[in-house]
Order: sequence, then C-alpha cells, then structure tokens
Amino acid sequence: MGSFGSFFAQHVVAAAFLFSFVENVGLPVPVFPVLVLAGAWSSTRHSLLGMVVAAAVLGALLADVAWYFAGRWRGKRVLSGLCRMSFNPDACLERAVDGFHRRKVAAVLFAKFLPGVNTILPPLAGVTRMPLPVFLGLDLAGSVLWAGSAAVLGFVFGEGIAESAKGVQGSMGWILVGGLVATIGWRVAYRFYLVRNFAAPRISPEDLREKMAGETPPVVLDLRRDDDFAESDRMIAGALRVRPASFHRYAHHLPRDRDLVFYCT
Amino acid sequence: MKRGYDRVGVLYGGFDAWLRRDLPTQATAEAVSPQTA
Repeated sequence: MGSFGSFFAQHVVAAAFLFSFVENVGLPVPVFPVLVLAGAWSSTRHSLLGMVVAAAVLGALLADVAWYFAGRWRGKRVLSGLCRMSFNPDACLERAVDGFHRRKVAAVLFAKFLPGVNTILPPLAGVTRMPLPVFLGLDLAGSVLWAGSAAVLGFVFGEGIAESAKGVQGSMGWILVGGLVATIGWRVAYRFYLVRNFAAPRISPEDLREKMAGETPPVVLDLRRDDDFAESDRMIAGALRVRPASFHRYAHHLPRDRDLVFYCT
Repeated sequence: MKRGYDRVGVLYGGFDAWLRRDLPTQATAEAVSPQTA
C-alpha cells in the first residue's frame, strides 16, 4: 500500500483510464477525486492534462458502449439487475425509464456527475433504442465535461492538492479502501434504518379477504411493476392501481381513516 | 409512510398467493386509480 502513491504518480494516465472504466462499469469506485488528483499531478507536466482527460473519457466510453449494447440485446432485464442494487428496485426501474423519456439529452450529458445514474443511463439508452451515433455523441460530450472538469479542477489547484497528496501518499491505498468500505457501510446502514422504521406488517390473503368483506374494508393498492401489471389481465377485486414510480403523486388522495394494504407480484 | 398512516400492511406472498387461493379478482382493464376512486 505504501508505494501506491508513487505508482499512481508514475502511471497517472493509465490510472485515469482504469478508474474511469471500473467506475463506469458499475463498481463503487470514487473516480472523481482520482481524476482531480490526476489533474493535480499533471500540473507539473502540462502535456499530461489532455492525456489524462482522454484516458478517462476512453475508459468511460468503453464501459458505456458495452452497457448500451447490453441494454439493446437484453432489454429491461439488464436494468432490473442494476436496480437490484437500489434501495427500491421497482421504483428505480420505472423512475429511470420515465425520467429518461422526459429528459434524454440532459440525462446522458450530465449522468456522469451522478454516481449510480451514470451506470443506469447507457443500458437505458440501449433499451429505449436511442440511435447509436446520438448516444455516442452525447456520451462523449458528457464524458469530456465530467473528466475535464475534474482534471482541470486538480490542474488549477495542482500545487496545493499535490502537496496534500504527498502527505497522505503512503496511505493512498488505505484511503481508497476506506472510501469503499464507508460507501458500502452507509448503504447497509441506510437499508437497516428503512427496514427498522418503515417496514409494514404483513397480512395473509385469507385475512385480507375477511377484512375486505367486513364493515370497514381496507383500501387495497396494486403496486405491481408496470411490466408485471401489463402481462397480467387480473387484479384483486376492488383494489386500486398505483404505479410504484408515481405513488408519491397519489399518496394525498388516499383516505387516512382506513387501513391500507399494498401488494405486488 | 408512517407519517399520517399508522395502519399500513403488505399482502403476504403478493398477488401470486392471492391467485393460488382462487380469491376474487377483476380485470386489469377495469383498474381505477386513487385519484378517480
């Protein structure tokens, strides 16, 4: 680990490519700070700045094009797999599709600045059959904007950042590992918090049927994913249909004086 | 969800469990949203 800093300094262009590729493939690697650091190191050798940006853009494009074709060939199954890592997989999938249809250009251009979104966007572009030249053009512009802003930030404040980096050079590897562990730890803790505070009690089909026949029947809500709902021609008799992605828009229409029961597939 | 809704439940086993028990269903074409209910 101690030689990580000097190794990084010697192979800054390769590091920019590698970190960018790995992050855009979907692994939780903090690439933006790495590019800032790469830009800072480039400040001592001006010719490197362009190469660092180009390497990061190339890494991002390779990963994005692979995801784009995965989306074209395997459809929404690819997105379902990616959304499993989300806190709310069903809403993640449908919000991603809805949001993409509304703001295609802005989504691809600025996705790189939003961790998580940058991995979902390329397969989404493939699923929605965005023409490859359009996707490539937008993704290239977005990648240049993203990698360029990080590297230029490091380049401009190069001396200060490089000095700070020297101070922590021996610990660089541990800092990256620590960042990764902190990211995963935060996700696990947040999920635990959600389950602990917002998990709802479960009701059996027989009990629900009995309650629905009672004097004050509960409001039953069909929250199945759009795909599942479209494939099925049946739903619970008397249930109301709410798309998971738009539940928040209808929440205020629900009666507050009755029990609510949700169901999915 | 707990803000304003204290009595919320989830159907155990989901719609598949409901279908397996042959409980009453309706056509999805007749679906109504909370806004129009």
